[in-house]
Amino acid sequence: MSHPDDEVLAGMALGESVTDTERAHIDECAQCHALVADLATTKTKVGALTGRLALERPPAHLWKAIEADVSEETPWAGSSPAAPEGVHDELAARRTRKRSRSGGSMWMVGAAAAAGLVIGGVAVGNLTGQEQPGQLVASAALSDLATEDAVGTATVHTNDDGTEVLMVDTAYEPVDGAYLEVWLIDPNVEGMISLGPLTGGSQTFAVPDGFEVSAYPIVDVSVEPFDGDPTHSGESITRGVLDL
Amino acid sequence: MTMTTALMTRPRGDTSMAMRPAARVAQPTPGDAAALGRDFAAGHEGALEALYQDVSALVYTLAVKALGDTHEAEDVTQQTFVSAWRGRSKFDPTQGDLRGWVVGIARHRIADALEKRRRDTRDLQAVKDVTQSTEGTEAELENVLLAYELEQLGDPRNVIMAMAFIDGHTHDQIAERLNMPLGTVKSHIRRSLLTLRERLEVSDVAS
Repeated sequence: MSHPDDEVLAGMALGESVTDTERAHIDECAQCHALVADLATTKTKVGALTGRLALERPPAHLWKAIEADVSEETPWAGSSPAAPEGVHDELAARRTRKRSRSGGSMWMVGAAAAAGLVIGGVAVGNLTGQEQPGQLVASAALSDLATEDAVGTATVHTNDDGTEVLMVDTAYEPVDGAYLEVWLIDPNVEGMISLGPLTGGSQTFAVPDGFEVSAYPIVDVSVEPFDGDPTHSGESITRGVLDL
Repeated sequence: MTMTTALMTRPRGDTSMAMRPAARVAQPTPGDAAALGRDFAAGHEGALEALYQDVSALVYTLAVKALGDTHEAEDVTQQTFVSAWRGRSKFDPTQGDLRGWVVGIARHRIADALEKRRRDTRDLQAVKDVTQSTEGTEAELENVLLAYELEQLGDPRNVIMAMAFIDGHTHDQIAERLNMPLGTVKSHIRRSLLTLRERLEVSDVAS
């Protein structure tokens, strides 16, 4: 016989009775047999649902951020390319995008949070060339986040005058169109301070006086685009945790 | 380096049932969906926004359920649609369902986010466990997709299926409550089951 109607097969999967002829066909026909089994699986899955779905809508600003992301390559999605408005629009688009990104994952700490934590400590200079670090306070093995390879160490030292420094010793490679930045981050990944740009494989950073490194034990190296945005880009490449 | 690159996959096609004509899909506007798929693949103006209108709530809900964090879910949703647009040439409107394709991208993005979280957790030497296992998340996502497809059945099938399978009413009770012939109720349930099976395959849930 020809294949029974799909509804018959669905009925069978639902436990409804079928004629002897239909049953005989289904027992013989691999395709129908498989479909009944498949339908029975679907039935089981539906039966396991605990409630109807209430869809959650993303916030309205998300579409704007997506539009900004694709506008660079898609003429119609952005505004007029004519300068100077074009330049202006591009900056607006970048800000939207950046804001959206910054508001996102656990890495993205808003500008306010990041700035608030580093009051008095923003302009941390690099003390390159410091030859004699003080007493070792803590160290961290750094690993490459992509490969998980060991890529050096970060150590905290206390100098005789009580000042602290972070020494980073890692494989350094310049990045096209971006720079590397060193951060200390708290265990909840809610607060962080920037210690400044990483410009070489071995570099010493001053820790601001009064800053409790123990509260920010994660040493992080990120790739930062030259966009003037002081917040963490969210693109970390290297990380380690100080054993404080 | 950049964040993890998007993995583009096409929803798995019908394999086991390849010889058999597919059950008719009772999507509300199959013609519109196909037209959107073609417009999208061709990069036509408005196609991304139309797609976003159609499927952003599903993507966002999946991400919220899987990640339990609205900020991360927003990121995943944004990444999903930007990836989809940039990868639109990889979508073949003659081969697949655009919504299913986007859901596939979203699932990869969610998996990436969970993987990143797992990695971060390990890096932080955090004592707290990562609360969700990958398996648990997969099951959760499948449930959301199935519940979504159930709603997509439209009235009255979504109501009938919910009464039968979620509330546990008998077919007789449903017929009585909805003032509908018993045979009609049974037929709706059979057709709904066929549609759901079909849609789960498109969404790659059945695998």
